[in-house]
Amino acid sequence: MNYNKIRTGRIIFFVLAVLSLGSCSDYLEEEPYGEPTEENFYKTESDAQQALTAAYYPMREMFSTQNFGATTASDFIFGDIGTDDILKGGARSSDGPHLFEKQNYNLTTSNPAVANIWKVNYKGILYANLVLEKVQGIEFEDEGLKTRILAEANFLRAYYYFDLVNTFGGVPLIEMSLEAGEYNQPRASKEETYAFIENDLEKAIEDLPSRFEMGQEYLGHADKGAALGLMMRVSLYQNKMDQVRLYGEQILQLAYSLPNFDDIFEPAGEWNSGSVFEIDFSSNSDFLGGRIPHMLQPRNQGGIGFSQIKDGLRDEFDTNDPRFESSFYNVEGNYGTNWYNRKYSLAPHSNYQRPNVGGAGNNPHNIRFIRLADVYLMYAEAIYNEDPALAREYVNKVRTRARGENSNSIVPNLDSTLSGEDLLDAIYKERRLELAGEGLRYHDLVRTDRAETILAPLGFKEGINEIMPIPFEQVSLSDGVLEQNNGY
Amino acid sequence: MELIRSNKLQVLFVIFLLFSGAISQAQSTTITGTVIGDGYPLPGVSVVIKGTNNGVVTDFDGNFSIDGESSVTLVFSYVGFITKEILVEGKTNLEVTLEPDLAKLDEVVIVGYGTQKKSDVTGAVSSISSEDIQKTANVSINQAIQGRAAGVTVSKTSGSPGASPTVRIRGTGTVNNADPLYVVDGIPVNDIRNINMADAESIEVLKDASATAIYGSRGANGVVLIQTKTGKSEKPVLSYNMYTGFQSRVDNIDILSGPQWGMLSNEANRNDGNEINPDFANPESLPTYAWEDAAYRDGLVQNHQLSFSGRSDKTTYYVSYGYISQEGVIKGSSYKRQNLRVNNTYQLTEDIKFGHNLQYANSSRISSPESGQDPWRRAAFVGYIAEPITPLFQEDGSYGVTQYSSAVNPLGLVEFGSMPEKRENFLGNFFLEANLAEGLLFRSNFGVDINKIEVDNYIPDYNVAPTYNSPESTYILNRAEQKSLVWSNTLNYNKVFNKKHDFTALLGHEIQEISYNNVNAQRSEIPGSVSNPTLGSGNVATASNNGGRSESKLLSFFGRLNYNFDERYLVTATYRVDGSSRFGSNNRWGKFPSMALGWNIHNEDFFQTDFINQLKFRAGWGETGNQNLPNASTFNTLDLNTNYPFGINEITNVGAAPLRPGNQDLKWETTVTQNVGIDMAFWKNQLSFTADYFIKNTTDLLLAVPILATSGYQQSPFGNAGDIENKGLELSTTYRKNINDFNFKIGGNVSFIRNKVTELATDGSLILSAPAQGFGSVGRTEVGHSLASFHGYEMIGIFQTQEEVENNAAFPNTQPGDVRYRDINEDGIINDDDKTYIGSPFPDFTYGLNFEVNYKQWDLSLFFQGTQGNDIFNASAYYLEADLGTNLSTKMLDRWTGEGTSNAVPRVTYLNNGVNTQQSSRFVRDGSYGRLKNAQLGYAFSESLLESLSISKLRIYVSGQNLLTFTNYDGLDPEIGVDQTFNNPLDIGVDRGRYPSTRTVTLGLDVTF
Repeated sequence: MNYNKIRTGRIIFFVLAVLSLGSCSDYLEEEPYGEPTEENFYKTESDAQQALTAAYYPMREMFSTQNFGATTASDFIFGDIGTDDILKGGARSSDGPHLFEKQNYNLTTSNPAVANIWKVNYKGILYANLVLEKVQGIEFEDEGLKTRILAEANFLRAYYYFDLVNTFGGVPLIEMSLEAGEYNQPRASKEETYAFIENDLEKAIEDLPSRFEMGQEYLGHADKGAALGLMMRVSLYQNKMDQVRLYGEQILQLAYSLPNFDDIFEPAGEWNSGSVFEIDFSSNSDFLGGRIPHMLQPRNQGGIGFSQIKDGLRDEFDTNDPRFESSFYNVEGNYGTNWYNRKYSLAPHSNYQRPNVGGAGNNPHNIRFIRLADVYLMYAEAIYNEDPALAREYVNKVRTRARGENSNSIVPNLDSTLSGEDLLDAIYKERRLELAGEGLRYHDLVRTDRAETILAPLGFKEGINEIMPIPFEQVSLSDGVLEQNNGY
Repeated sequence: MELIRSNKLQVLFVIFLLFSGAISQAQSTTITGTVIGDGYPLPGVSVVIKGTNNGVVTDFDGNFSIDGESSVTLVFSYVGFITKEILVEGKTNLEVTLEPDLAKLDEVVIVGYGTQKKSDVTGAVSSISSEDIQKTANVSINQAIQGRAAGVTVSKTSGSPGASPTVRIRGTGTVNNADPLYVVDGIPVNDIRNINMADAESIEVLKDASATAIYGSRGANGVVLIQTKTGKSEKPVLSYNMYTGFQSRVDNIDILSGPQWGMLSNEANRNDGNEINPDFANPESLPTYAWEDAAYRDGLVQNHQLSFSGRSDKTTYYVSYGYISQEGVIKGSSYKRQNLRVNNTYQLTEDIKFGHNLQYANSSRISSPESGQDPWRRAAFVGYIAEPITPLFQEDGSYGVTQYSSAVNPLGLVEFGSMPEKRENFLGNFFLEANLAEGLLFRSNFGVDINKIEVDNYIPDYNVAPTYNSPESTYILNRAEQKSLVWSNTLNYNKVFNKKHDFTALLGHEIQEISYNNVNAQRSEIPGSVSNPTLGSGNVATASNNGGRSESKLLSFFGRLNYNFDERYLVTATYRVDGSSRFGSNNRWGKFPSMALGWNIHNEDFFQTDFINQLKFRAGWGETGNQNLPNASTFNTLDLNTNYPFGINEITNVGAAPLRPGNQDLKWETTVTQNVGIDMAFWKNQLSFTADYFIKNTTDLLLAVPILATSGYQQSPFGNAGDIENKGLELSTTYRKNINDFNFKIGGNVSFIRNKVTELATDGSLILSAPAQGFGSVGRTEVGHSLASFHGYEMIGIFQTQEEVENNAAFPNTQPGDVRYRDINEDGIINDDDKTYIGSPFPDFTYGLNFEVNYKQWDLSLFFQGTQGNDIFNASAYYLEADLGTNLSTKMLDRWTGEGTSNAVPRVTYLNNGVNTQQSSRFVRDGSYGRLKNAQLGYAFSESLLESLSISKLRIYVSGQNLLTFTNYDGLDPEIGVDQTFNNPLDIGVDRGRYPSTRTVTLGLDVTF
């Protein structure tokens, strides 16, 4: 009897023990670790600033140590390969198959470069859209700051769309962050895409301060000059020369001046007096470095050796043009032309030291995205017909600066009678010299309809190669909603 | 003797064992006799004096001789025979006949949260003999079960020591993690590699839902139950097993010599209308350096296992120590592991038993670089594609730098890229069993599994190649800890009514908590004066660090009812409810029922067929779930690493933005399995046969739904996005026969599995996977096809003439000698619309074949395993058969050189290489193979010889792994599973140049005291 009681007691005890474990539903509530959730974010000024910082990230990513593929897809490499200026380079003729495709104009839809351009820019568009949507509702003590943050996001969105429209033509216009089920959007026309970009830039121009009004801590942020400069380039690429002139006149009001050419691409030349917009990189253990210098470095000096300088570009320089030395250098012993781009180089070819942390791709070189010389030349191109004298004057500003301390016979001023097509050719040539190796050649040839003449011998096919194929993966995922470009 | 019973000082035990022979000889009478079984003398029968630890084993002729008092009882036992007890009663010469144990069928198998008589099992369960797998020189159980059970597919992912293979039970049911659940002594474990194979007593693979549904949310991919050893015999057993040997690589690729390579380069330049490389003007004079061998070596393997075990009235004990060491065939790669295990049980009172199974393991692994899309940093492969004319070393002794390819010197990769990783594991469970009443058993099982992972990697500054250098030394420190706690409580009630109605009911409750945290830190610029660098010796200005944490919980209730009517009709029903913290409160709970029926026809009165001793039908249905997704998938979290440097000093500003949208509506992935099976045995189990057919439908597939990049998200959100169907047939059979001294056993299994995607949601109607260098995503998952099928153009030959090129659809710039692709839509051009499905990584069937024979002292076992009908996308051929900057396969010597010369291998060209290297069927290969995985020849010394040494068993053997391979595959190794460097279960069957399988030859010794 006693024994049975003990047993019954045990049963009750164990059953109770078991039951006491369950039924607490709070037990399964888990909040995520380490990261804020969207629901708790976008509430304060500091949140707004962090959201804005993130919107700059993809711009950086395109050239960054974190994204090797995107760096090869940037205009410095993928963009200008296949032109008369730039040889693919690398270890051998077939090194970098996606770049080899570009060089031979055998572009396929599965080219990883186009996939990277597409993805990184749309990421930038999302992050800019999130700022535009969410910051509006945040209360700021300083309403001016809010206006500025929104305007920067407008600039960034325009920047990203501009890279897309240059590469692909018209693209889907995502004006707000999308919800699941809404992602599949058809392409807008090229004109609609450009109109959208201009609209964003107009807002940015209106609301952004100039960096000359702001402290040095503002550097890196887009300012009024950056928006005007980008608007000029956007207009130029559409051949809207009136607009180039209009915005050119505005930017020329700002306090820019041309520094010594030699200094521009040195560490001391970051955000120099002629810098309209730069993409910032720093080399430290935060890994915010850039990979372009590593990509362009000679292989026997620890680089990858892409985007070497072709003879045609070097021959374009007068023998005594000081810019030649400042733009190129020669290291023998590798595949290719053995001529390299000094503008994004490392010691001993520049004063930029090799990174001592974060690997060879963690370089501090800022990308000089828009320079004052470019602005002058765009402006000259816009007015060469109506005001050749003024056009010549701006070209000569660039040439004078190039000449430096040298005698007037070196990089002489343009013939004072130069006008019409000859003047235009001189402006084109000046762009090629001044902006050599800065990733602008392909777009310059395409926008001025010279691509067929100059690039056809290299394989360029008119009506097809002006723009790149839409990534195969995206076309497949869209189930036909995204239409492929002609000829791909 | 008292010393032993007290069972406290186990070390003394060993000492005792060494003298036990001497002690037992001090008795008076000698009893001798012969043991007969199946009409013949039985060697190896254990003869023990009941109630003591004194025992002997019969010799070859079945004879034994034991000293004891004339009143004792002798216990005779032998595997496969019924144990017999005989009272000696003064007799000195006994003839004992053992009856075969027909009810071997009635061995007990482990099922979820309990055991069951094998004859009562209604689900699809495969038992794997732990004895069989001990005969292989494998490091971990998951590799060792390859080919051992129908429906279990194991594919090696890398031959690197300590690498985990891909294990799939009944196909790939999910695009998520499809690994089975491993449960060791009732505890789900994180990393099966920690378990010492020698400690495994039994391995059961639960395949269909009626067997796995009791594991609910974690059962969908099948469950592997491992029970570790316990002390069994009253005579203490000390055993020591060891083997040692060498492994060498399985090398399947022939590459060009320097002159051949130079010759092809010249030919390509001529084909392209270019000047030849002046250095190659005289190709015969070019040197050849053996880059392909540079990183390889023969590696030493060693394994030592020591255990002692036994039991007394109130306790059982099993203590083991294991040491495994493998040097990989790639220089620098190695794996070492030590295991210590203590499994004891204590009968506290008549009704209460307490026990524990405790394991401590530590391992250290050095893995050579083998990751990434491109082959340049894959140490095992890169040597095959480095151009042969460049010396391996420069004149100053530093590593040679390739001039034509981007291959990084493999010796440099191995020296600076090898990664050391140390792991420590504690796995243990404590259980309490209480008999609460007649037939009512309460069991509480508490387990912990703690894994610590440490990386301490000092890398000096180096400059091996343009793409592989570091100007500063670096110290990398990583720490991670995974912890899981499980507590389950079950009540089991068994009652037989009217002798025929046998009911067993199980009710249970379980909680699981899994947590993970890690810290990664790094510094550079360690001064050369530091002889033993640590993280702190680096320059603080170069410091970076990162860390994370996650946690998840599972709360479960479950029950099972077994009903057995007269050993004829069997019913099993289970039900489990799981709540998971990974889902939002709206979809938190998942319910997983199952039901199965069995019919033992051979127990029916009407069944009178003598030669069939078992005939059983089984049918089952059940639901299981899957909750394998990141912990925070339901939340819209923001990444805090989207930073940007602002200001004149470029100060890092923190950015916050989403990488992936969250999905509040995520719910359980559900798998419904239907299974029918038949078990048959003939001639007293001489021949046995099992067949199962199943349909496994997975719905609400949990997957990272690929979304369009226009969304702006870098990562895909998780969603319930589709259905997959796996159908299959599994057959296995064993035949055994004893003829005098000669007995043999042949076993085989084969499984046919068809895998098909039956539905995918709109977002995610297409999943692309497996990117390979030179190609896009090779794998494509779409409705109507098997998972991760290969996609691309279809090669239909080589253009032989210019006329052919002009009259057929072709890529621009195509010339005779280039690859001809099929114009699928016949629109006259080749573009994306002509891409189609060109292969599947899933085999038609996989098989294993086991052959064992014993003759007197000798034993031989052979084990074959293979797959048939699977394709491999040989991405490594992009370099070996196309890119002329690299070295090439000798296959290229058969290239097209003019009309009619080849219709398979295109001409050599630099310029048009792109046309010939399109993602196409040119690179899809038949991946079928059959392999002699294991062969072992052993010799057991005779008892009479050993008796004087007090050794009860001594066997030596020679063993070989991967001695023979039959395949048409031309890559390094046909045995490739999921490429783990991509961490995507859909990265299947793509060969980017893996660490190959190794051929191992070992000598071994098993000794038991």
